[in-house]
Amino acid sequence: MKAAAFDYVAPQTVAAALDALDAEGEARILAGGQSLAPLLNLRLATPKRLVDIGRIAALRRIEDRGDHHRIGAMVTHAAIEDGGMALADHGMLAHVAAGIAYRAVRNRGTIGGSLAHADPSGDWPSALMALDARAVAAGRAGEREIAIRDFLRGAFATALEPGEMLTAILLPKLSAAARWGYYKIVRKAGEFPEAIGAALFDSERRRARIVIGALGSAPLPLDNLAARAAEKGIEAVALDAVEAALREAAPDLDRIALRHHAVAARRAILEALAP
Amino acid sequence: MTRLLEPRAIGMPLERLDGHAKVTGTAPYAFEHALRDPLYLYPLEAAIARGRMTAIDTAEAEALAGVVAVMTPRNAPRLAADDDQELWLLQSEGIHFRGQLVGAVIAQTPEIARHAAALVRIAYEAEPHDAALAADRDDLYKPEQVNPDYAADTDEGDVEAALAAADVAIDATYTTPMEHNNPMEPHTTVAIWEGGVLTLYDSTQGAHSVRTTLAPVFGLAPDKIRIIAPYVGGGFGSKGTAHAHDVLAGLAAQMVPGRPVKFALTRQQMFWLAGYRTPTIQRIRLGAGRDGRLTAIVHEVIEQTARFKEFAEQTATSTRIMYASPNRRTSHRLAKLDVPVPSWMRAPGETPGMFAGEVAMDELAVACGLDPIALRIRNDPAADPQSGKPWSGRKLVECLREGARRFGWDRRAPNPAARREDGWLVGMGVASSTYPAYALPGSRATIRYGEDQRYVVRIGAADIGTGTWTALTQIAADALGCPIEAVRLEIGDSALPHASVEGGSSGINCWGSAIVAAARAFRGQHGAAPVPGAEIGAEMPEDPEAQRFAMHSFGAQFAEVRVNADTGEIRVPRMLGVFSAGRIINPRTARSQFIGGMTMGLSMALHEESVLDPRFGHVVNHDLASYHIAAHADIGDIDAVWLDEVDPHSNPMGSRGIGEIGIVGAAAAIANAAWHATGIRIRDLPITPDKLLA
Repeated sequence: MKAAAFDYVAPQTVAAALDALDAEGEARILAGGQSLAPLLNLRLATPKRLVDIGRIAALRRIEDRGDHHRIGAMVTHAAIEDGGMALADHGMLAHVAAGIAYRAVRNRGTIGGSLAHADPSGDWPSALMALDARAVAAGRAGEREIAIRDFLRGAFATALEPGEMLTAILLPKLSAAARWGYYKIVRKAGEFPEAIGAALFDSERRRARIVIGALGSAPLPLDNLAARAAEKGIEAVALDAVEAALREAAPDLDRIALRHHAVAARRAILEALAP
Repeated sequence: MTRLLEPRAIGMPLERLDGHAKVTGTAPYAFEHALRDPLYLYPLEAAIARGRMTAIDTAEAEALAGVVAVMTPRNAPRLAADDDQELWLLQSEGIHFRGQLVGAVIAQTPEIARHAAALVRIAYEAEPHDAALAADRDDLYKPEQVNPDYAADTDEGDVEAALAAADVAIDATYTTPMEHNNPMEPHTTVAIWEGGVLTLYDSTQGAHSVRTTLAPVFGLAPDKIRIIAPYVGGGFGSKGTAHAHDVLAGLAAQMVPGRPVKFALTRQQMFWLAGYRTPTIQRIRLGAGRDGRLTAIVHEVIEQTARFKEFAEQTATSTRIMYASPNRRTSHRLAKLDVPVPSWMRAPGETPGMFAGEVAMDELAVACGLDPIALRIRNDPAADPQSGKPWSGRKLVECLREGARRFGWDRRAPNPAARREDGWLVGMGVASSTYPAYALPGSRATIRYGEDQRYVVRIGAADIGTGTWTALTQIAADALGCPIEAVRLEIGDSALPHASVEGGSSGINCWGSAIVAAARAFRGQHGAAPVPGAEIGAEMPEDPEAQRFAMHSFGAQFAEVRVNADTGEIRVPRMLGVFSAGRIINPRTARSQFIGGMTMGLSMALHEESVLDPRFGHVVNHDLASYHIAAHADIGDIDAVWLDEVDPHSNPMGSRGIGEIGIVGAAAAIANAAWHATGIRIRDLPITPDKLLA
């Protein structure tokens, strides 16, 4: 199938993009197009206008802002995978990026597009939540910052208001002591995962995060479990304990899904905490 | 005793003679023949599962630039014979299954044809349909026979009494899902109607069988229809018989005389137009003494067919010959549903039947406290239990013993769930395999000595990727006593001498026998130094020994399975098949066939499941993204070996056929290994992680 007819604009600046968004309520932003283009072709999405933000150079930059990096929304998964930008993340973003779909998708797909799409099975929502990243939303009134766990409202739902667009992700720098883990259960290489586990422990910054992804809704942080793991070590987060914590947080999961998500989380924790 | 060939070229691991043409893309498949001025067909397909069409609006499609014709039941050419309802296309408004071909657009490009097809509006009067198979249906019936011509039921002795008196009894139900053949090359036909002759470039396993089937359907004399198929990209049985798309292309060609009409099914259309393996529900009851000696075998099969045409898979026939027991009963019961008609899929009958039968034997071994190999050896029959005839060569025990030695069976713990490595439960399983040695009558070959001092060997045989081009050349060389370079083979055309279908693992046996007969006649007539132009033809002789012996191939399948203790993920790092299939013509292509069959069996064991939505009557996962077929990443170390032997009774080559036995028993071996790894008995395929976590 081919997409329904739409208008197409390719602004050069964020301000122009916001104008194009405002002009009509039914515009959609086109970033890398790796999720939106299939939706268009299947006519599951039928926007009146596409605002292609691929020509806005400012959105492709990564900047060092002291205690964090500002990653432009149009930075591709491939660019992150290939590294070379010295993020203070101990390689977590490059690892996550390298596991997204396959290279052709990563060449076009962007971190901002993926986050704004908010597919529960996407990688960036879970990974960026574990990293305590913040989203930068630009609107007519200027920019605002939103913590990822507030930004992600549910499946394909974000805190972006009509007329707003995601312009950057603010990634806090990790300390030298930080350890992370990221584990996906994927039935076929390149497919969307059945379950995601993300873990981050930064003792120097007193941060401990365990996030479960690929649920029917937004990724789920298990803060109490993370605190216990940080305090008592791997022994405190055996598979049964992870499963119990997850069951409490997500009582609707069926037994199989519960097990798979718990295993993904447990393996991520092991990656982060194993000596 | 059959007069055997002296093998010289036979037995050599010759590389495929057509290999270079295939890898360089110069071997033409059905869609690729260079034909002038082709048109393209896209089908119209029924959007309901049962009922009739009440109106067809083709105006918008016909108005589209590039559309040559829109064919519907209103204007389609008439067909002549309606005894095969699958092929009785566009002759009425009736709908038998969702996806049924109800018309076609013929256009200048494939894109225009497809677009125009979407513009045709069809109104239906739907009738309630029924597409759900269940064991407790009250309308199950006994077919007159099961594929190809076996009795539906057998009953010998008194199984109920024997079961009641048995020391050990097994009573379990096994299920296999609907499964679909997915050869790489989709089903394709290019049809040309010119001067009262219909020519089909077809992707088929049998040029002559398609001709024989289609000639009466079109009301044509057999010599007015020609099928050309030199190269075929896989079939597995789904191209063993003409399907509806052949007829649709033939009808379309009659509407545009002189112009080739090209029609390739999409991958999705293959899920309703190319046949499939019926789902099966199989109850098996075994009775045995404490020593494991069988006293009763009962195998009761429930499966489906289409309401508009019957296909009865012979699921329980392998049980009739596998093991000795004085009391044996088998039965097949069918449900007629509003679904596409099932058809052949690699080793129809043996594949699902031996899954159930060989898992049941594993369960009996456990119940008796016996090694599963010892149990099978203990019940190995000296003669065919069904016919009482002597075996032409039953070497199942040798296969089991040789496999056990090679696979390291002596390292297998007697108890399940005994071995755990790094979070993975590890187990080993075994299963027997078997397949009959079919000999289909009627194949004929001619041999002509050419001006170039080569022997032109002609027979309308098929090569569906299996190696026929190469193996028949080897047979011809030995039959003529000449080097393989002196043989020029011609196959894949119904204009050549008649050949039986490449099905039932019978191709090489039948075509090779015809070639040997022709070669012997040629030498008898023309001697060792023929003059150019010398020619003779001969038909495959009847094999009187076929009546005296029970001819079956056998094999033993071994699998190592690893199950992740946390997630239920299943891996098969090792598989070994040991086969007894008579003389092997070409070890290189034979190994590919065996390994291919085993891989398909692994795929059946772990992945393949067509999910039919009974509300609409269609297969939901009708693409390769959601119908997973084992990929390289799913396959570990698979090896196949065979006993060095000759069947002295089968044919002059001493061969028995190898195309299908590789899949038989493979799924059971994996299921049995999964049990051994985990202690969990899975009786419903495919074996997926959720079933092991349950």
